[in-house]
Amino acid sequence: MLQLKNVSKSFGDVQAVSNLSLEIQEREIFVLLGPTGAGKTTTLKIAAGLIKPDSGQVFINDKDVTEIPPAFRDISFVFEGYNLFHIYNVYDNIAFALRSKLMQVDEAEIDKRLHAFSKDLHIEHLLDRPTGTLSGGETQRVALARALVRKASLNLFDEPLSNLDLKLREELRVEFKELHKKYHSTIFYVTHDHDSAVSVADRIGIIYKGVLHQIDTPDNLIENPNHITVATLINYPTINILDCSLENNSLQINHQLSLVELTSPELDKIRSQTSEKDFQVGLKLKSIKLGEEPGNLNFSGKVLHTEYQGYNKVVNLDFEGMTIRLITNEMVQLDFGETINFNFSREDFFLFSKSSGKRIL
Amino acid sequence: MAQVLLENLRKYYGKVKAVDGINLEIKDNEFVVFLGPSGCGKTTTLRCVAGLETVTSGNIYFGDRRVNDLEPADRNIAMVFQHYALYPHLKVHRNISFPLKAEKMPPSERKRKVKEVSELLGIEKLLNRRISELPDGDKQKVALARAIVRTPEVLLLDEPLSALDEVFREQMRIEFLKIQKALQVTTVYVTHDQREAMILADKIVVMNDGKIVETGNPEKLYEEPQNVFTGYFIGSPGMNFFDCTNKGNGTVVLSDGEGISFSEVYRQKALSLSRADFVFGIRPEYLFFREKLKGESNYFKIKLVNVERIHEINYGNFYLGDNLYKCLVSDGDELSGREGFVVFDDQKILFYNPESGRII
Repeated sequence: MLQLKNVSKSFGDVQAVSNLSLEIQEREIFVLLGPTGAGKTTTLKIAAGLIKPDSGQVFINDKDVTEIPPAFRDISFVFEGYNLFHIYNVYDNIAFALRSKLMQVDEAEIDKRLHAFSKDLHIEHLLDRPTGTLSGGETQRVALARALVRKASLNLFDEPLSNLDLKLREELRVEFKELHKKYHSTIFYVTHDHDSAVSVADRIGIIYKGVLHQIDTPDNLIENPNHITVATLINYPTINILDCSLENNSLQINHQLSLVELTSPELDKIRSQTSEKDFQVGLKLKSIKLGEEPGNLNFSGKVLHTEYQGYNKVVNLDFEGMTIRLITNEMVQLDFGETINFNFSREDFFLFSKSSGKRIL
Repeated sequence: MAQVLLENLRKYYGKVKAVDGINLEIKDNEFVVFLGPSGCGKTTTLRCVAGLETVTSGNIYFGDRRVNDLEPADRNIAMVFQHYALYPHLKVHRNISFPLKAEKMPPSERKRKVKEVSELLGIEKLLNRRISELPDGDKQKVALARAIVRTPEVLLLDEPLSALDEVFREQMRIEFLKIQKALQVTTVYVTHDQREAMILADKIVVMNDGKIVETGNPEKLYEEPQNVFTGYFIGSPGMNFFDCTNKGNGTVVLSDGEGISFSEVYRQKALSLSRADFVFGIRPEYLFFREKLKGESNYFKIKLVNVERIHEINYGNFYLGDNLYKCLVSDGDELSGREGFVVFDDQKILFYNPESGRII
């Protein structure tokens, strides 16, 4: 459907996107997830034709569109700021593109489509209203309707939900998926909001500092990250990262405490990839359990703080001068400063190179 | 160190009642979070405490001292804003020592103070960098360092993390907690982010329309919200609220006309409610989807729209009328569109008055 091939773009000294390739399948919701300044919007604008890449190519339906202007790419675009025309009412805003010289859809068809979409998006009662009088959620729905009504082969969404408050976002996420199921649109969606990404995406691409690190389903990214950036960004609460060094066949904390004794196949695997000594261990919060467990790796730490997050509690522990966090739904009372035991299975840790961030084990 | 007392505090802008009669006691060293949607009056209240706004009526006390008429500079407070308000062209150490210089503290003592606070925040290596060179997370650490370097009586924070990305935010929350515990300073923190409030607060003050809806510790507000607004606003996802009608003939129906079955104790309780209409509130975590009943006595019928994974928990979405609700499901997407029952945990049922929103 959409294919970006080795796309790069810099603004002055800043490399916004470097050598990025991705392919979006027909009818897929593909989400590009990364923090502010990661290159998400630039990538989306390259796909739209609003920014010309310094190098690389853009294909839509196997056709090279790199040199083709946005209006001729058969795409729709929802911007973070929506860009509705406040001089028009909702109806005319949604109908705008359909009435353009390029599309010239007849009014009867416009009316039919418009009513179908506005019903699905619960904005039928707003059609006569000027867009300036709408609430945030209503504005958002109108912007979505205006994009989807064109039935473009590709819909590009830039942070479509991030200006809304949390409750509205939760509701719209569900509607968004339902709409997608009904209309089978192909959606390229960029956001920094982890929850929205995991909730709506078929596949997610993790981007940071212009580099696209990994593309996979949300579950696979969580289970099998190839880079420390991926592990950090795809997990909420974010993953524990512990600095360690490889000494005497074990991963050591502060050069004194052995965290994990490595097997010889593991050592071989490490040595085949790097000769460095410094690594970072990644441990998901849910991999760490309270108490002692024979057969697991057992340690102790001092309670710093318990975050009550409703269903789950996140316990912050001081472990050898580092903060380690674990998640539990056990009803336990933990006091500040109390020493408690924790354990994890040796199957459950990730090992990353400290210098490159690459996953080693 | 100070206890803060707000007594019938009001702030009107013309006809707009931004703060509409707030009574609140903040204990010494307590970490209090004002939580509410935009326009609920949380920031205005904070600005009144800071002295950046004059109050329309009511009193503000720090300890025994009435501070209404004191200038911000005379209140011994420090404030951190969303947008740092640092001097971008100055180095980090000059930014942090700025308030000390204003107090004419001798240079050697200033240096010692700056060193102390920057070590606490882990920014001692950044002291000679310019603000403009720093990433956003570090800028906010510098702003915090500048705020606490004078050891204020009261630390006021206005959405200090909302301009940061989620990853930085998580790190900074941990920093805030560490520092607040280490400094033992009375802290008032304003946010619209309920997660942040749950993580940080000793006490959350839930606000709406210029008034306090409810105060309590995070656990209490989550488990037993005394008000529908609190249950809706706290928790992600928020609490489910079902409109129920007590038919009077021993049955209770939901808004879509579907019957709801309670176990005997709760059926008696529901039927004993003097009003015909009431609201039944329960957290999604205590509602479970089942295709077939296994002898449960608390249940009603639904159709799942889809399954959504939030923080590795599978939630089923379903509608009653136009309202969206969530429950726990055991499996993933294959359950989408299935009909079945939601069963619920007896101990977790709360009833509310539909007009006032208060717990019955």
